[in-house]
Amino acid sequence: MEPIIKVNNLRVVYHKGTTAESVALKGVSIDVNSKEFAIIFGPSGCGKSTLLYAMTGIERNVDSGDIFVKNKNVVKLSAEEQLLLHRKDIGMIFQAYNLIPTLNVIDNVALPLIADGVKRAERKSKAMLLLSRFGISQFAERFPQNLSGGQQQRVAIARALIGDPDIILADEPTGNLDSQSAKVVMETLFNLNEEGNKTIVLVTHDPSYLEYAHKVFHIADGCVTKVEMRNNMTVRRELTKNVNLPVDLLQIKRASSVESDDSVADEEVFLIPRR
Amino acid sequence: MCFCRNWHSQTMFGKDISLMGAPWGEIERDLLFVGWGEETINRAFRNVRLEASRKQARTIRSFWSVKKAKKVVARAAAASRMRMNDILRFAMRIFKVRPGRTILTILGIGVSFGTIFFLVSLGYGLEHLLLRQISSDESLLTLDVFTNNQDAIPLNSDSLSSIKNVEHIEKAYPVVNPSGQVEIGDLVAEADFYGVSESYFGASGERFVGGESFSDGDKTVVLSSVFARIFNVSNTGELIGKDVYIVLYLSHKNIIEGTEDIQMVSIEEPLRVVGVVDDPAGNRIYVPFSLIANLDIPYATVKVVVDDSSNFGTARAAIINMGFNTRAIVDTIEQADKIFKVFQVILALFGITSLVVAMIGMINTMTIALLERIQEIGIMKILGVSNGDIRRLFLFEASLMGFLGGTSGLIIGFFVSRVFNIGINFLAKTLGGNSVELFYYPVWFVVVIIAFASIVGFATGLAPSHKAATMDSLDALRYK
Ligand SMILES: Nc1ncnc2c1ncn2[C@@H]1O[C@H](COP(=O)(O)OP(=O)(O)OP(=O)(O)O)[C@@H](O)[C@H]1O
Ligand SMILES: [Mg+2]
Repeated sequence: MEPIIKVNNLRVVYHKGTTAESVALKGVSIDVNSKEFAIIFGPSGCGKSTLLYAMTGIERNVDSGDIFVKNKNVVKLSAEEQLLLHRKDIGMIFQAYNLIPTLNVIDNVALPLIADGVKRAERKSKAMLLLSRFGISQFAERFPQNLSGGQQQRVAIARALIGDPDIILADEPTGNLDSQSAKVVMETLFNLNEEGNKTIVLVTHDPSYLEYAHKVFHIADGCVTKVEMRNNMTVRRELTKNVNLPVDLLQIKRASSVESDDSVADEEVFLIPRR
Repeated sequence: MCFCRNWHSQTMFGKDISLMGAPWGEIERDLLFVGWGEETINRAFRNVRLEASRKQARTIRSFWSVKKAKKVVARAAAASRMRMNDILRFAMRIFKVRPGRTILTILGIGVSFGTIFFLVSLGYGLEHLLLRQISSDESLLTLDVFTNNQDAIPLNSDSLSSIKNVEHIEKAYPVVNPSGQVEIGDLVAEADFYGVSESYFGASGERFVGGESFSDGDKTVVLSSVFARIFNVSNTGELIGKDVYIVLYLSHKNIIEGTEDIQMVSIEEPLRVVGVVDDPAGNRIYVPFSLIANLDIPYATVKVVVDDSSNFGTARAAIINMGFNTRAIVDTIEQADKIFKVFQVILALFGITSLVVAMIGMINTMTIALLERIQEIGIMKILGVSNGDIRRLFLFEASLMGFLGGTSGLIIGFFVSRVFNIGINFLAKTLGGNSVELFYYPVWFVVVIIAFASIVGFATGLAPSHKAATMDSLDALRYK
């Protein structure tokens, strides 16, 4: 089967031809298969984010190479195709949440649908469904700055899912979170992959997350140094057990894997059903 | 094949059909099935993208009419942009984020348009006031005919009848202007007398402050209001009903001897005052011409009323050809118009200056708003908001500010002008004058102000919106 994301010999050069020229990626080739959980791992400044954003087609400093997402070369997409790619095929999650502070939670979540001209009632019901699955429907009318970091990141995850994309790209989504919120986010992503059949590409420099992955791309200084296939079915099965999978459609489960720490007693994991 | 040709021409109208996410192979088969050549398909879909589902593919297969194809394409194109009410809602956030700054900017524009509105409605108001003061309808058709040389080109009953024969002249009547004395009780004063017909009052635009005009043949007079002061009555109205005696000084030139005799003619009967016209300076007394017609006084002027304004010039030229001089209120109005033109230019300069200041303020606000929202623009773009929608959003915000600025300008200008008018009238009343309406608000100008303010807003939004729309999404997203 064709990989859902295929990067061929990608070279990204910033400020090419000037004295400030810097080569962020030096001929990177990676494949991510459909329904795979892939992690891009490496130290700060090695080019992880650059690689991730290049996959969405918005990196304009691609010097050479091709990036295929669902068999379309995103380097050469027309503006319209790229918009549709972002609305329907790719969901993005960021370290800094990147919610729009002047829009309430529901508009933030529904933004890709608003961009697509979806009617209000329809997008609202979709957004509310996602919010309630992540246990934050009571915040629907609030503004992002009135939510905790963990809650904001869950809003952002809901937003990434609203267009029902096959691919989720996450750039250090736990970077600003405390360890418990981080765990909730990671388990949500894991669950989206395991139960929701989403393809996940996660950027991180935290080695403790590698256990979630099927595949890890080790990056250093703009090059892939190692592709690690993790034969970790047992580990993943264990993880699955920890988050009490499988669940039924809208069943809410308390994250039993969270060792009873009072500060996060109200953090709940809402599991995305298999489609 | 005919269908292909139709489709062909229709790809020109438009946007596009992209079949992203649709089973392309299947659609291609469908299109080939309905008779599209391979090349036609490629051409049709080269520029255009429309998100087509299986269902839309079936619709395309059943495109038997171009009309239907158009509809599907239009719907697809519409689906790829934000709804207008969402753009409106997003634009309204300018009142949420920095309400103070937004309101100040709007008020800046409001004050500038308010100034323009105030000055222009004042200009219009004054023009109206003037025209109403100096001109009745008939006065605009009236021509004063006089002569510079009574000896060479005399103005008398003979010339009057030849003037009456000029084409387009509705009526013509003489005015004689001897000087003399007037006597009320035991008070005597010098006066300028005007022997006129009753039509004179309508044509001259004379304003009555009391009483009314006389009728031809009456034994009555009309005084100017200055006589109230001269004869020591507190109110001009008290003059009415009083009897006056008049003496006229008539001069007879002897051309041969080069001498001039003054003859004093007194009218024995008392004349009753029936009206007072507004003139606090000139000692004028109007008497019916019929009363002094027999004195054979040379005419000072002949008042001529032309039948229609379009014939005014012709009739005037004909009279000038006869050797007479002419004067018309129209000339005064043309003079006044010139003054108002100058006034309007000055207004325009004032307005443009304040407008430029307001526009700079607005560009400043839009630029700061843009800088503050660079990250938001990046987020929106990466989530699939099109560049066009970003541009529309910024343009809409700017136009909205302009529109609200114009509207608040009207409100500000209107209220200031009302207060100003009340103030002036209060002043006028305490000084014994009449109350006047200094302002006039033409409806078209209200519409123009609002439209122009919106256009100004739109224009100041052009550069920032363009910057926002063409900004690199990744740079914007990473902007700190
Ligand atoms: N806009 C830019 N202009 C110039 N250089 C850039 C730009 N963006 C990134 N770089 C450079 O490219 C390299 C890779 O950057 P990138 O952001 O991909 O690193 P990263 O692996 O995501 O790091 P971190 O873990 O700190 O986020 C870095 O050396 C960085 O300095
Ligand atoms: Mg990074």
